[in-house]
Amino acid sequence: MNEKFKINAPKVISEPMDHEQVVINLENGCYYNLNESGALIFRFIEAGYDTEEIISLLAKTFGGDREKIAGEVSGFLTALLSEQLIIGSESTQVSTDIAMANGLAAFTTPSFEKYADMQDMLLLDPIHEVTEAGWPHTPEG
Amino acid sequence: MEILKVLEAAKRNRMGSGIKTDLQIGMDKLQIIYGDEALYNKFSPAFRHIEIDCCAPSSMELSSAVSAFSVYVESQATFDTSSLMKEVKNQSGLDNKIVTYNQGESHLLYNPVSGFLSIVDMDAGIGLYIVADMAAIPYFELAAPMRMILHWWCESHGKVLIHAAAVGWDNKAVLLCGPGGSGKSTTALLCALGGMAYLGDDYVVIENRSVDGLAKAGQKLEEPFIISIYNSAKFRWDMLARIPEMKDRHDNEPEEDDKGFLFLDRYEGVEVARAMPLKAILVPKVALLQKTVFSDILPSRALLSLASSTVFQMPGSGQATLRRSAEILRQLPAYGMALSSHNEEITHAMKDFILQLD
Repeated sequence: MNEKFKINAPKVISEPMDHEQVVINLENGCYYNLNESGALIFRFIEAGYDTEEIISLLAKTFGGDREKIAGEVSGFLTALLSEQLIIGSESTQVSTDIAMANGLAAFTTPSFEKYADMQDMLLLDPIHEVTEAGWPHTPEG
Repeated sequence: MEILKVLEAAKRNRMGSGIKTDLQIGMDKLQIIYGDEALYNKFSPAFRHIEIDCCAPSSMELSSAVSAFSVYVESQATFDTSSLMKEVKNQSGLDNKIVTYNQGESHLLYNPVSGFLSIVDMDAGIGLYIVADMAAIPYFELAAPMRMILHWWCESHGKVLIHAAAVGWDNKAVLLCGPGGSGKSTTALLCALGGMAYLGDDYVVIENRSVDGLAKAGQKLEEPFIISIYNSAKFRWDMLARIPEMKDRHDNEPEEDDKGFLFLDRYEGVEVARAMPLKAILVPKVALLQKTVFSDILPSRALLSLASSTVFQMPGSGQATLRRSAEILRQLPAYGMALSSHNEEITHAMKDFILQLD
């Protein structure tokens, strides 16, 4: 089934670095380094492409077995979803401002390294964002 | 907005009184006004090395004339904060959550663990740092006070406050970044005691400066500089066995705090530098080797080390800090550093390594 996702902002922040992508989940304290192919898929999601479009773009750009690419993309999206780095999206907007192949020579299995050593810091200091009512604001009751 | 009212009340409350100090932070100045002598004695030592005489000609050629931003440092004894503290404690709730608020140029952070409240409005040019309990100030607030206020101030002055250590040699600085326990603070302290310039062990500022001499026609070149804000150095108490010269030199006691700290500006033989060109990023790792080994690492690995700890230590800094950290890393080489177990070897290795940097 064709699905569309978006980055789970503002809980998730990210930045490209060379061809890779550094991603931080501010809510649970985990941070990630996406490999080159993973970073490219992440940027396609950012740009607003749905799953079928991402698979087609990768197959067209890098060639190879479309079914194999589809399987790897699907597995990677499932992993991103389970880490809550992406969520479902209803948006129809697609950005054209993206460097498609990102200088990547070949498409390899997309993956990420996960780091959890900041979790303790976050669990000790849970962050509480004040609501739109602003501050100071005494809770009702 | 209520935040602005609170800040203006703090300004009115001082009305020419208090102990004023002016700080030179890179190209800009910042004024701190302490409510009384007790507050001054507690929180000014960390900034002693960047204090300036506001009336004397500045040694910084391009620095701004007068500070347009003042931070008021107050306690319950110097400014009536009871209703204010009640409000934030309500927000924090029974589960003691950190309270943050960011709207436009107004920012607030209340830390229920330390009881400190930091508020700024950058448009008004006022900051307020409230100490809840003068008898129970955590050591890290003495060693590195007003972190969030300085973070917000840096953001609005084109600088970035990052969670990293920095040392220099031959007028070239390197940044040591990584999570707690990676060896960055110990390396910085050993380097300082070994004759290298010290810029900080936990929080430093990065500021881009124009490099006129290298600029080509129509092209503005910038070079990153490390700016020191705190002259303090923190260490685990068990490090006293490894660095015996530190015994009796610390500014707190083992029975008081988890970690020791000392102010290095008055430590004989140590040079605390105010600013230095940044040439490389190092990601240290405790390896207990015979010799310290430097190796190339991927910029993404360095960004993870630099940005992740900063982002999590500075609630609300998020995407902007990550982007600025990436911009810095795109300008500079990054290296891994597997540390030896020998104090002098680490210092010598650092000096040799920095000497060969461009």
